[in-house]
Amino acid sequence: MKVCVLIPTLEYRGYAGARIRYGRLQKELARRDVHLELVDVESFDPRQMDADVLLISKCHDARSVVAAAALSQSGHLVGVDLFDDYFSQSFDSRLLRFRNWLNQLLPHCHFALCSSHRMAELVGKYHPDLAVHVLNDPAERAEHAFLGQKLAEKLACLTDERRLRIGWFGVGDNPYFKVGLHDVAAYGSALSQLLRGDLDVELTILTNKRSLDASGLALITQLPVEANVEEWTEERERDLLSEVFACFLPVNSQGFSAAKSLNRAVTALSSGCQVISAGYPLYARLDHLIYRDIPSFVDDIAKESMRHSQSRLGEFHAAMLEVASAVVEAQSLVEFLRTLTVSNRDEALPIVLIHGPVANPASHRMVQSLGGLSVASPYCASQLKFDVIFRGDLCRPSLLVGEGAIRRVKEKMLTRLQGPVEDAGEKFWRLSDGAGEADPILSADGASLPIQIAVYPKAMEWIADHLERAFGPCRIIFAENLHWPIAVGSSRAC
Amino acid sequence: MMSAPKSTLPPRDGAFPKASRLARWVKQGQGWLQFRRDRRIRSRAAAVLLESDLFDAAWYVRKYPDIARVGMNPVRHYLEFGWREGRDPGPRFSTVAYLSSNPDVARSGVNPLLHYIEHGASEGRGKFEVRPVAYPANSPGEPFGPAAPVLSFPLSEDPVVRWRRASNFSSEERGLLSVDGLLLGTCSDVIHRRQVEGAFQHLRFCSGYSGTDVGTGVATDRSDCPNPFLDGHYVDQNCIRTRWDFQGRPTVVRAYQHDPTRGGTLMMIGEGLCASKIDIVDINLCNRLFPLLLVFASPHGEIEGILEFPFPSLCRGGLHYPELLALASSDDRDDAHDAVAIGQRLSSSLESVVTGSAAPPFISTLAIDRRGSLGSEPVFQPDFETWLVKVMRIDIEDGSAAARRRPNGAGQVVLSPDMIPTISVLSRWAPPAGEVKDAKVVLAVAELDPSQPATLFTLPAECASTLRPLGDYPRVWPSLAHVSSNDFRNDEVPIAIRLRDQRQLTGAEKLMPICLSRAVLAAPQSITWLIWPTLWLEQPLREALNALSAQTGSHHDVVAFVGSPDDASWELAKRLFGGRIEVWDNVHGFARAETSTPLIGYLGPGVILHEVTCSLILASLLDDPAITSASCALVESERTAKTWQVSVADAGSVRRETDGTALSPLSPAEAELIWRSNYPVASPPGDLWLIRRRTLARWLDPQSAEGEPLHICTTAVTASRTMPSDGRVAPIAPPATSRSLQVTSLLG
Repeated sequence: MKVCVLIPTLEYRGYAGARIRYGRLQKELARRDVHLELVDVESFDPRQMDADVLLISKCHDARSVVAAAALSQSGHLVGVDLFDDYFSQSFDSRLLRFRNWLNQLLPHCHFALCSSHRMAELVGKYHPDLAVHVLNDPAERAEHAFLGQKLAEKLACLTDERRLRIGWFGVGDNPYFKVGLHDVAAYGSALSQLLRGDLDVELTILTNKRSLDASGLALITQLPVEANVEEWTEERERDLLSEVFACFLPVNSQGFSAAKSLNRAVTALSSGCQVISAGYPLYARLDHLIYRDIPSFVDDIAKESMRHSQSRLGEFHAAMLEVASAVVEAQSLVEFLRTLTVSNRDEALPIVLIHGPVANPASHRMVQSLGGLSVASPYCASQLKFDVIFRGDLCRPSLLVGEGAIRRVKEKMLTRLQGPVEDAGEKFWRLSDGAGEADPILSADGASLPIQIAVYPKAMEWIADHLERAFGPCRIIFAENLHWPIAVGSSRAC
Repeated sequence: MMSAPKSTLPPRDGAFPKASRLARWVKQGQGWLQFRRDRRIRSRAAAVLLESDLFDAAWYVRKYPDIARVGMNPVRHYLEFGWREGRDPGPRFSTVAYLSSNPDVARSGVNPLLHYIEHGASEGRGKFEVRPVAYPANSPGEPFGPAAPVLSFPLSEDPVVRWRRASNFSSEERGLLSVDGLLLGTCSDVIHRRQVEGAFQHLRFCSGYSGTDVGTGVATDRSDCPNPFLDGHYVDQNCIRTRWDFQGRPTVVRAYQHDPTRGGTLMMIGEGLCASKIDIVDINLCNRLFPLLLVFASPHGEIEGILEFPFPSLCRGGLHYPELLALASSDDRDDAHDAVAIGQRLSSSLESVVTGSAAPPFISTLAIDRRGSLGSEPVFQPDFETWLVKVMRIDIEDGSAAARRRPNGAGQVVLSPDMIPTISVLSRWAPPAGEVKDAKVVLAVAELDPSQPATLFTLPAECASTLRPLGDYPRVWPSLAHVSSNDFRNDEVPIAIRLRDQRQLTGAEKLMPICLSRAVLAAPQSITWLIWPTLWLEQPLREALNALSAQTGSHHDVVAFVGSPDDASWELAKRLFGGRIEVWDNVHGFARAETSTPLIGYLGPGVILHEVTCSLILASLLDDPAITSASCALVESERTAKTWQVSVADAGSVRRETDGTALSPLSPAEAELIWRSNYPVASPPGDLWLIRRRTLARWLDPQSAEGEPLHICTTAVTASRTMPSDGRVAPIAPPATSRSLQVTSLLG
């Protein structure tokens, strides 16, 4: 079985999402005759796909929906991998576009992979009938070698030097949520308890450069222990984890954080670090190996008997087997995939992609290459060779059919074509379907933002209705990825 | 309509031909005449740009240093390449914004600035100024240079004072005083010893580690040693940097605190010599909110005084600093800004509450409405929870039997997760025989950065029960219930402090503050929308009618024009609203007539209900009979280079002074502090409100003796204003005075 993982960019291969989630599974899956291939969405051509399964990962735009629609119709298994929760914040208008995307995608999917049970519950709210599998992030097996020795050395070094090195690593910010450095600052006052003893405490923060703006640095200065700040790289993270005695991993309880996988704690433990967890008990399944309170941590240092130690490696390996084993995860994923069958639920219908204010040329090309229609709504100012465009003033929008799409018009509607007329150098034929007079009003291009938002949902419904009248039944996808709170379809209720 | 561009431009693919291109032209037979004609056109275009104050050659070169580097003429560059690359000709014209908003120009291939100068300006097309952009200086990861000297002063010539650290005390020393095994210093006088021991006992009581033995309280001899505290501020979450004034006498300051993470062990957490006012002593707190005891001693170790510091979080940068500002602003005493003095007064009151020596506590239950919680807010941090339980003797109500309630009291305060209760409200006791009433609610909103002003919002008592949280969205206002005294009504002390998220609201959040599912809203009541068409421009009126028809439940709504609309708008209204259109000569006639809808809405010039649930939400506010009018904040959207800039235009007027005499608009920044909430306003936004049918007749009747109205404005939903308001609004909502939000700015 071949699985094509659709990723947003080539660079994404180096991100934790791809590196940990797919990279560590690849070998074990291959042993079971399941081969993962990561393909960036920019160079992905659904017609050329030779895989049996398409797995969509973090591609939050219309291309993934178009690809899912096309491939599910052509007998492929289609799934989505969800490991960041941008979908449960139902009141947040900034994230409406993500909810729109998932609402449009899931009907074309046969399954969903989730990083945690919380994410699985969330998928159930969107699509109760969808098959869902929780895929834990596996740990790097090579990291377990010499672990006992490393743990013993670190403890000995701490006892000798009385210098306690603590690390925090990860993305320090997020455009939508208070996470990363905010969590470190919010829970950081607990670290002051480490200062009461005779230990010199040093905190090293490895994070992305973007998060180190004035407010990010201000958060760090509020910490009760001295902090060294460095830019995150994969190599530096590896070095840091081999140097520090413990990692401080606070987690807040908002949905985005609570739905995360255990991978940071697993990575830290696998690298021979103690883990101090604070806030939301995300790592509860590892509680016997980590610390939830500083006094216990300090006491164990005094006793030179840590929870994660050479003498308790058996417990560690058992826990890893349960929550982060590449072998176990690969096996369960393979078994899950083999239970799935491609249903015949999707009738083969032409895909119609309707572009909102900003058209993505790549999704336009993709839908046309698949024999679908690329449609410019009245809001769309992009200059692409659309198959159908809606133009006109505020009160009388017109459906204009491009030369190449005339053959797709229903036969009985052909007599209603008038033209040609020219738009941006292209020839179009005006289709009068006789139903527009009493319909809701569309907004013309160049309209103000408020009127666009006000009439957008109605306008899109009107457009979809008229397209089906002109071209017959089709699978309509809205290519809307604006940051403005524009509702598409039924997403408002989610 | 797009104007035909005149031939002021070079051909798109043929500007400034080089020799090879020229040769090709000649070869193609286009010849010298064509070349000269194009050159003439280009020269003229360049002259037009140079004459325009929208082209700024110096700015262009400064902004795009690559042009300076290649030494190209900036006008020529902009004409030939710059506009195609999206560069701006000067700070007052945005190429991208102009082309984005004028797609006909973009399609034509005309230079956008030339188009604007020759056609666009006269056609009323906006020119879209370039907004100044701050470029980052050094990125944080790069090394900084040495700081420039900013302050210099002569060094003190006082001799070095040698002093003893507590770690050098020996238990063998005569007269040495120790408490809980900690050596404090020498104290030969028996009475003083008892005072010191009593003060430590009191600290133990205040810290919640002795049930009944209160100790002897503050033991400072004020006649001999006036409060020496000068200043204290948090340098990080757990360290207070303090300065002291011992009137030139070198004094050692030692700070003590019980450590709740070690079962209440007494710890010395700071020690330092203060020989002058600029000396500092850093106090590393075990718990950032627990009380402190300061012991002052001579350099040799003799104890000279003691000071209790019950609430260090009142210091600058502390969680309760906004409360200090509020208390200081309402108190005339000289020490009203002194965190120690105020803390001691509050501590005294708290002691009465917890020992039951006075009346019952004003607040017996503290609850947090956890909707929208991050879980990382201060109120959920272990140190804060410990402080509540141990020091304030109250627990966060979570429905469990183990939650600690204060006995005898009835008052309940409910906060959102981003708030903390003030020391004042938890220390307050209720006078007996009070009548159970709604109480005034005062909220301080502040950032943790103490250099930023805090804002005090006071909700009148009548509104406290009216303003319920919106759906499942986190509450913005605290609530105070079952208080058995009206004494608190006249107090301006906040009951809670909201620690503000520094993040600015995005445009999306201003346009749609809450994504409310239509499913949670009640069935709409139909509305007659009053519109004065003569105040409108034609296009905005048609857009507004479109938007009205897109409102959820609008199929029952009626449009009542006061005056005649233009023909196109009339036709459009007929298409959208069928027979539900009325035309009236004046509003009085309308008010006297029987209307078919229970609600009347006023839609001022240029107002567009961009959110489809807007009228539904406003109508649902009027379900409460106490509310006279419902309105929402108006926002404005302005097209910028790449996107839209959304700002708050009108969020109603509020009171500025306690006597209600000063009314002024709620500023955009203030409105953003209470975003996603309902609040009472002195007068609603002038261009949009909703009332009951009978209210309009009363407003228009000068003889009407209606009581003071209650206008509720919401920022849970917004509408857009697309034209400037000219104030020609009729009818005008009568202003409320006492039943309005009061806003006070607090400066540290």
